[in-house]
Amino acid sequence: MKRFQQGETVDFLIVGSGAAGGVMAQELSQAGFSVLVLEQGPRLRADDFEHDEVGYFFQSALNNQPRLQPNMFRATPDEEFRRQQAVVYHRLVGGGSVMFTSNYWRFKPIDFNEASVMGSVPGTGLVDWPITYDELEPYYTKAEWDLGVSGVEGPFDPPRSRGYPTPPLPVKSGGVLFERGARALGLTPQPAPMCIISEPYKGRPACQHCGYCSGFGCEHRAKSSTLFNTIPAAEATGRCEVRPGSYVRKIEIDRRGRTTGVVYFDEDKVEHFQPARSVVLCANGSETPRLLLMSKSNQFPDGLANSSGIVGKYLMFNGNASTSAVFEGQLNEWKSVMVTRMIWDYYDTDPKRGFYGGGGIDARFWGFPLLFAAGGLPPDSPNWGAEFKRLLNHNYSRSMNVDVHTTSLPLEQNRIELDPDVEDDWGLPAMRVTYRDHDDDQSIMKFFVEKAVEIMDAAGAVETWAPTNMQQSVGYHLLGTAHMGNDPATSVVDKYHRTHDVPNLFICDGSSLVTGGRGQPTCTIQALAYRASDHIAGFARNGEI
Amino acid sequence: MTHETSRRDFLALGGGAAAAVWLGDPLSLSRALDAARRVGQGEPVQYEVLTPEQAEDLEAVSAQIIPSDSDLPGAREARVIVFLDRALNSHASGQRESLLEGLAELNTQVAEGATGATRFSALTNDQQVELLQEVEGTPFFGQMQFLTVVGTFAHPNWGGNYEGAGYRILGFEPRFLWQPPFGEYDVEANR
Repeated sequence: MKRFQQGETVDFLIVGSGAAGGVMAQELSQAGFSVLVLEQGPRLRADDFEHDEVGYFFQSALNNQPRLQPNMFRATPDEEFRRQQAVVYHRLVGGGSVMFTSNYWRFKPIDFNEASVMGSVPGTGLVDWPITYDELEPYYTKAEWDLGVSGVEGPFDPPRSRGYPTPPLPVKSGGVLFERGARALGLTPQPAPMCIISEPYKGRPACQHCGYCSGFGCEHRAKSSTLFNTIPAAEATGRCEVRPGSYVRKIEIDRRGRTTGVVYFDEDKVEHFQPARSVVLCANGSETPRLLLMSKSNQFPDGLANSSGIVGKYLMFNGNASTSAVFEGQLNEWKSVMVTRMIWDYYDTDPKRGFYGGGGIDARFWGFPLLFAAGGLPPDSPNWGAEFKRLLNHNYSRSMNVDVHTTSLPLEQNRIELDPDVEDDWGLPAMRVTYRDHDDDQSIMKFFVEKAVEIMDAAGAVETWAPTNMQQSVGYHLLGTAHMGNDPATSVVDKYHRTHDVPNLFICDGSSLVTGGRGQPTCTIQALAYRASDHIAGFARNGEI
Repeated sequence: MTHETSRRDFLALGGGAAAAVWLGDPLSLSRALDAARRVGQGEPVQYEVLTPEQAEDLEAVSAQIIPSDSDLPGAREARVIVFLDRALNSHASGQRESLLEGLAELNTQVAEGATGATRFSALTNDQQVELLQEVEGTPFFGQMQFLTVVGTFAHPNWGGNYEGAGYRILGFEPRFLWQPPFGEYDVEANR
């Protein structure tokens, strides 16, 4: 395995090894370039992963830790910032691709040109992408086949040049009931595309249905994360090193306005300068803008690559709400993957609704034992005593959730900034986040939640309930904060992910997205990474960087 | 936590009050593991933080939160008190003072009552239930409810959920390898 000398110049330095960085590492090293990947978190093996809710959910064992990396949060500019976790990202080699639920939705053609088709929404940043679905389609296919995805073409799928590499995962009882309810309402349920293989694929075993996907790493390697996939492939070239425990604090610039490399802390908090011919940021939609804003210089007083002034702005979390139901028989939803069935019937914006937005609905279960015991019973249930215990015993195997995933309008006031006072454990400015859904985002979530409850009622649920507060205040999907565009005045990177301001600095991660789709952005982030690396390798070969 | 908290918020509880106690030192898991192993090997419980009397009273509270019955174990069989003692000495050490103060107040209430008892664990079952109904809204009860639930249902590595007691309450089987059909409703579809 390649180990670069400390201070040795590499062709490409990639910041972040997650969904995008892991792909970029493979593609650029296989194209013949030397690649160093700097990753904040540790490197784990498959048998290091545990089914430990306390460690993973409460103690942030593998995500940004509020104690070490505090967030400041406010909903709107007229509020004071308060210390509150506002973004969650995973912090290990493979990043979120290791820990995500594994929903693997492509965006649809309308997601790329909705502003011109539907019209703009006043007061928002809703604009068309600089690329079309057709331009990205070959890379969606490449992602699905290179990484390993399960699914089957459904009635509302966008056009695809190739089917799925493995068939859909076996349906769960929740999926069957969801289908029953959706069909009774005239809707068209379909198997959910998942980034989990249903059959052995490329030397990895099929899903063993352990039930621990969302928020956990897959000890069977059936979840097609970059950790067990593109990253080993990158290392096998002999031209790529992944350096865990490396926390980048600044991108350096020379007098010509070109990046020369980065300054990072190693595991012992010792600072190093790592020189590189080009830098590619794949650090996620919160850390990428933070790093740009921390990389101020005389040439870039407002932050690197920020001549537009929009770095960190137009943050999108996607709308999400979870409804619940109890049925008479046993579902045992705690087995197998989170999601097996979904609908896309209400994907598009329908002007008749009177507001912008659309989304999808899926059947799933937030039923890890502790999570369920702490919050899985109906709202009017006791939380102690014999009846509490009886309900836990009765409901656990009879419960399911139906989650809704919806649009977030890009708003300038929703943003990532640097806090002027609070620092992280490395002495760097803490991230501060302002986020409040647009009224239309709330309206579309309410519409979807009502549909979700109707579906479960139509399926014969004994009891259903829905959340009353759907305002998003914690982001897992971190999107739009350094988005693509043709105009340097209104975007940070061009359609090839090169920053408008720095010719040898590229960005590809959730921050690149112009709109947030209807949730489940990982598939699009990875398709963008395959596409971007194709172009970036081409530029490098032609001496155009 | 309230039921109005979304599950995604729950997953991000690092910012929430209930989970703030969990952001402790990284050695906490290995310490809890060691403690669980020793108790599992039949060694008598040596409390690290609690006096035997405090342990009896807190265990009695936890046993009202998740009672034992003839069919299924409760907090007592899950050894929530072992979990709690270890937690108060490591990752939940920040809660120690308030929890023990809360217990002292509870016992003051017991002593001021007409039962003649001076400690919670000395009350009859009905008296315990009645008193807990009175204090249901207090921070002490909230802490105990949360810690009892975590101690019962968290991964056994944390010192509670002894021999999968919490899993048995839920009907969860920790096999982690399954094949369809998974439940009653997917038998036909997976045939």
